[in-house]
Amino acid sequence: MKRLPKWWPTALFFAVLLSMPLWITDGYVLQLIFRVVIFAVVGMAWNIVGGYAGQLSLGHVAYFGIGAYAMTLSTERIGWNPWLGVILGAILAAVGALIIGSITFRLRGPYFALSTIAAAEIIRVLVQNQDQLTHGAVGTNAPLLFQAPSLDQKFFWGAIPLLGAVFALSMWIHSSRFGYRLRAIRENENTAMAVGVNPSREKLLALLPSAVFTALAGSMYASYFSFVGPDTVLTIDISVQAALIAMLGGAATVWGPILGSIVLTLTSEIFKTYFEHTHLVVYGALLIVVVIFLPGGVISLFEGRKRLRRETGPIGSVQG
Amino acid sequence: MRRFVLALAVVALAGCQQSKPGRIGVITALTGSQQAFGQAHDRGYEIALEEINAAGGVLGKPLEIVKYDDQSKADIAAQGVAKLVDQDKVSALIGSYSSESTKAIVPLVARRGVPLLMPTATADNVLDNTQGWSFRLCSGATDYANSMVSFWRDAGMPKSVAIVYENTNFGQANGAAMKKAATDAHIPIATEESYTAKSPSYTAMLEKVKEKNPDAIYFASYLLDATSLMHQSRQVDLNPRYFTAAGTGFSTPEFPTADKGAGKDAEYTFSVTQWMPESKWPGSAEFAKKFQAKYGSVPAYHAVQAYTALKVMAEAVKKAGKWDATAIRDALKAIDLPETTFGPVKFDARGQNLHPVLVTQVQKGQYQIVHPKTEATADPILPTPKWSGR
Amino acid sequence: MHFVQAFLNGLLVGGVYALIASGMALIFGVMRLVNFAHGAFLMLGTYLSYYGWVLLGLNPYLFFPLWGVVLFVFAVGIYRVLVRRVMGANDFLQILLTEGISLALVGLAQLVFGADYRQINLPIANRITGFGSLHFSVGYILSFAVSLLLVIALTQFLARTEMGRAIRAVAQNRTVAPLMGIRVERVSAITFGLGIACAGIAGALLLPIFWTNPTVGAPYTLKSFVIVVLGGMGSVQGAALGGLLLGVAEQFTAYTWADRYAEVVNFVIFLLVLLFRPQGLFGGKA
Repeated sequence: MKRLPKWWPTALFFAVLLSMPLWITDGYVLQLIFRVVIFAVVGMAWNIVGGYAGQLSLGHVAYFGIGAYAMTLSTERIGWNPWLGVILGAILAAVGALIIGSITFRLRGPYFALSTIAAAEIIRVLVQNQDQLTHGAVGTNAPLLFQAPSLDQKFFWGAIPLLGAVFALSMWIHSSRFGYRLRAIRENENTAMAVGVNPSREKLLALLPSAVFTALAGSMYASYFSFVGPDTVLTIDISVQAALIAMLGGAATVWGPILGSIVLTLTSEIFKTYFEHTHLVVYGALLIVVVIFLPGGVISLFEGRKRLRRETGPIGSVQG
Repeated sequence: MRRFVLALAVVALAGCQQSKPGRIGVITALTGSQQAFGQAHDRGYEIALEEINAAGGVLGKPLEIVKYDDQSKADIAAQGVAKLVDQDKVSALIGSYSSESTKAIVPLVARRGVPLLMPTATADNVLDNTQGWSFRLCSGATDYANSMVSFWRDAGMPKSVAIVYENTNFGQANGAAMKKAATDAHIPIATEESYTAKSPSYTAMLEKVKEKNPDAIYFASYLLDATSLMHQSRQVDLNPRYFTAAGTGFSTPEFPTADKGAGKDAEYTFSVTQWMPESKWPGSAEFAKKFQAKYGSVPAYHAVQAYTALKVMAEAVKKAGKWDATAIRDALKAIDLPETTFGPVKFDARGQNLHPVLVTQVQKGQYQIVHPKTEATADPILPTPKWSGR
Repeated sequence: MHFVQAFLNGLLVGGVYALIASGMALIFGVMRLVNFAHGAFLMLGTYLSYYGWVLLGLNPYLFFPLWGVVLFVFAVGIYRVLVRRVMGANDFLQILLTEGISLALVGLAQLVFGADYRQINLPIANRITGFGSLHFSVGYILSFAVSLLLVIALTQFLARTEMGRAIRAVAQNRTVAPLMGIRVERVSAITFGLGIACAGIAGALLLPIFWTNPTVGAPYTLKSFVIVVLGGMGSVQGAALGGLLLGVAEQFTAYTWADRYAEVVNFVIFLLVLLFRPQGLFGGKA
């Protein structure tokens, strides 16, 4: 590789992405790529806490749902502009992160993961049952963040800055002291404490932007598809997807979740079209294959360095 | 890699240039938790398609439908609209199965200017924000509740009603509808109980209901819970004057059977239903027979709703005279079909078809229509005998 | 009187929970494996039981040992081919793998069995019995009885047999156990098989009082975790008591508050235990 500026692949990637609405006229394809972008955001946001800090959260959908519902309910019940609702969602997600984090981060390993599932499920059940406030299981239509016409393009262009922002954050974390401290926590929390890292504080600091970006993605997603419901924006499937996208792509890397989202979202759609009834089996098989043959994630195909295996090494320890 | 991209380009270009023959898009739950109902839809569509094409197709050509599987998820259903309209260039849509998935696609079809006919969604809020592009064939939760109240007016108003519903979109929509209908009719509500569907045991909840001594109970449940609820009602010895329900579980062909339903415990239960093979609408018995011959089971009303929806849509296209989405939408607005297999079809200003709801009772293991009197096949057996006396 | 009824109903349901969770406790305690596929294996157990009855007339309450053996063999196979590779790897990979197995099994079930719900009608299961003003479903009593017998058998197996001791040794200290001549790999395989067999038999016993479809197992995976934590990680007795406790808690919540919140009780108990008594109610070591 010649000595081109190091940022040229990134610039090219974003340039191509930005240009897509201009030459892709098929709304369906544009919508599909929109989903890839949104879930790349979700994956990258998760990656901050899950990949870099090694905290396997399986409850991130809580923030996704908070973003979606805050935007929808504030517009519907208080009459706010939906963009204000989006900001409200981000704030509430941060608050939620502080609460959930302070409870769950006391636990390690699989206990932590399970506790995050519990937290997200509590939120889902409450939303589902407080139907007076939230429309319960029936759900409701979400407001539009942009005006017609050309909604597909506007939403697409709206999602890219979000991707850019979380991308920039990931890049910064990857090479900063903060990232270094997060990785230290991931490798061994006790040792990290011994060298002066405060795990409780760092983990919460990692969770805050993670939650905020997830909420923003949730708002945008709900608005585009015009719908919020507990089984759409608060389901555990999304939590699992967030983790999968990052892990499949390559945890604790900047490009990993983007790759993961491309692979997962597109294969899911392709399987559905060509394999119909078997897509669940194929999906499961894909997971198994990746775990056994590509534990460093898809990105390890491109990097090929053994170093990556150490990057995604043992995470947490099971405390008895 | 290059060859692949080239091939893709060729296919894309080819797709754009060719003028596609007119097609109707169908979204339903072919996989996922609602697969059983999506399958009922699918089968109804297949039978309708056969009949339409055997009778000469639509506008001189055989009718084609394009299916999309929403995997029982609302956001995937939303994606289906994009695929069917943008890629497959359908001129009209039918779908989906659940109220959630249907609600998700309503604003999207309005955005794209394509008419949508909803075969099965019963939640009342699916007709909000249609902007005139969506129509609903089936009756909604409010119609269910009103029909049951109207039956009670004939058979004897209960002194109180307990509303027991699952906490899903189907259950909550019907629970709320009955609450309103009962309140409007001045029937005191003994209690409202919402349960988590598919649990092993409802005895604690049923004990609570029993304590309130309701004169009538209105359930909103699917088949499995309907079975559990009736077995466990017997277990706790709950004896209201009326066991009633908002259709679905309590009106499926399997419910009164012993091996797939509640068997003897289903006896005497009342339920609203959208359709029965025995109903007097033309073609009902034939449809049921055809379905049974082809698929080996008795059709539930979801299948006939899909069947009728496709036929209605085909008629609308014929009326419009061309495969133009706006023209088809206008044709649907004005359509008036008094004699379909699903009863008369005519949409009001909101897009709702004024479909008469039937009330049935399980008598000797068979459903009998007991209301309205004009459609009735038998008289209701009242009061419901106590469990100890059965 | 109704509280007594709710309590007893809770115990009956809890019996089956106890069996499922015992399996999970075994797997988690001995192998430190986070098994997200537990529910999927329960589902397989229900289908074995279903087809056994519908096609061959084999009563689930009599033939559950057969289904247990089938699943034991199947599980050992899965262990040797797949699970073994993530033993000792980080939690990420374990969860990914077991989640993948779960999805694949559920997907296969949907393909092969179809997604519609199945139930069987076992006349004895629908009978109602009772005394005084208390009443119970005979099916529930049978499922409870068999489950509890199996849990007791399991604890006896662990306490008295040589394999049982080996299993407990590995649970206590995986690194030192080989020094005692214990073949850890073999023990792991057998533990996995046993744990899955518990889940499968629980499924077989649930069928007469419940129903099945490919997704029936999903809530039970999480429930098992809750119970294992409640009872004390790795302790089979703890999991058994935890299962009974959870059953009672759910019924009480349904009775005093609302059925739809019984779900939440699972999670709230879970978080409370994790925060205030992480070794569980009956776990010894912290």
